[in-house]
Amino acid sequence: MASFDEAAADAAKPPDLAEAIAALAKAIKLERETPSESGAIKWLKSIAEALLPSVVMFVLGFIFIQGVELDLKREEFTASAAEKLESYVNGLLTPKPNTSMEELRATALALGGFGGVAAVPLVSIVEHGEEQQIAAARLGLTQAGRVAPEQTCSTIASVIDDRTAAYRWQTRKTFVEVAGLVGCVDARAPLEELRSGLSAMVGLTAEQRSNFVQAIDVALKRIDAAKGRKRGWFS
Amino acid sequence: MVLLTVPRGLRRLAATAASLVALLCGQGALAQIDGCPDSAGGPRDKVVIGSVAELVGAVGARMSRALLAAFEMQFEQAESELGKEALILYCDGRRIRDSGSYSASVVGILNDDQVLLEVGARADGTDIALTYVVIPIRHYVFFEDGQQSIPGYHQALYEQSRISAGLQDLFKGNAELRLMAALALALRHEKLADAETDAGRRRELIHRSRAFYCDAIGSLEAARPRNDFLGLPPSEWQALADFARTGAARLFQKAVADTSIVSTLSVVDSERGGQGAASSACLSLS
Repeated sequence: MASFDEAAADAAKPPDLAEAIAALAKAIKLERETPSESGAIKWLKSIAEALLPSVVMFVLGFIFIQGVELDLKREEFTASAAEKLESYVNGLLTPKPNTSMEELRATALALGGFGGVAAVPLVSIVEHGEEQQIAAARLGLTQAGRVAPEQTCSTIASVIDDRTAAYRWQTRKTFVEVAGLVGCVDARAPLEELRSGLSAMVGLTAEQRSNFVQAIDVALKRIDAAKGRKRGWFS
Repeated sequence: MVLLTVPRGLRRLAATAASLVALLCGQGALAQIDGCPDSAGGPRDKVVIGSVAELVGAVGARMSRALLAAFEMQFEQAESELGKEALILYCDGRRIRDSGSYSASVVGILNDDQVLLEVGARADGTDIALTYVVIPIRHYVFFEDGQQSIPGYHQALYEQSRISAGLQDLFKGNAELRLMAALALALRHEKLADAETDAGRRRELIHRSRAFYCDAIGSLEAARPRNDFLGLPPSEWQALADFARTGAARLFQKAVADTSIVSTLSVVDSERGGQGAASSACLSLS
């Protein structure tokens, strides 16, 4: 009787409900088969959704802070480098009475380590200094030319190519020698022009003129020899 | 790499530093010889006397004039025209340095500035040491030709008693000083002659150069090292003597090779320093 009732009741149920129950049973079965995978994804998704804005904010904040910090460090470095540059220029410009030639050379080499930036004050020291300072500045210029050939050579070429008589001929001769030592290709054309115009330059003795021509020839040879030279990654 | 990316601030500073250098040195000011008066920048041959303050204390105007006069006297006998052509400078702020400070670069600069000779005095125990830096010799012979026997940087010792009557006595009749100055002038005139294109001027320069070499030869005997170890070291004296004799012979050959010169070759006592130069290169061809 009971079975009859159950069968009657089942028959009385709408067919879609049975399907729904079957589908639910199937789903429950599936969930039982992979219960952890689905939960983890869900959990992770929910966590990710909750944390995403914070993470994005954190990354952006980190980048911003690092940028500011780098800027500060750069400024700090610039200030410290500027102080050093100034002290080296002062050391060369106004050496103490007992400063040895070795100390002057060391200062010039340190100054030359700043590369093209150092070339500007070194030009003035060569133009206005005394023999020991000029010799040290020449060394500094050569050092600068090796650290930053392009920037330094541009300064060197401009001094050699002086058409305004702004510099003494001795200063230009020093730069001719440095151009050769550094191997400044940029200076080649100004050197050739200077050589051809040397006979018209006034105020030189025959000996000085001859030595000047010799210095230009040596520089041109050195530049040609340096043309195939490999340069460092920093240049 | 960092240096290359940063330099905007540094460039500004470098430009400021350069302006500062120009400002401190004075607008349009010329480079100078270290420790010498401003007038040293002129385009003339120069003999530089370093400070003698270490020996005699402060040097006043009178003392410095006496020193300059003592130097000029060295050349009267040779009629070298040094007084007309070269400037003798007393450089109160200049201390003579060790030979290492006279590097090729420094000497090249001094040679370009037409410095002939630098003389410095200092006490050396109970003696006085005079240092002579013969710039043309150090530049051309020692550095360019690589002749190590003749460095162009020489020290001679003198007795303290020589300055008892005044420091200028150290330079009056000083044979080593005269030898060095004559050699400096000889080589300077020889280099000028080599570079000269005008035949007449070249002839004149060859004559003068030869005369100075002969003057140096004439001074050799008086400058010979003494048995009491005063004066120049014997090996240096010998090297200078050889250099003077070779130079006189070389100039003689140059003169002989030039037909326009050979007819005018002559020798006078002054060219030999009045000491009787024993060199055929200093004798007249006529």
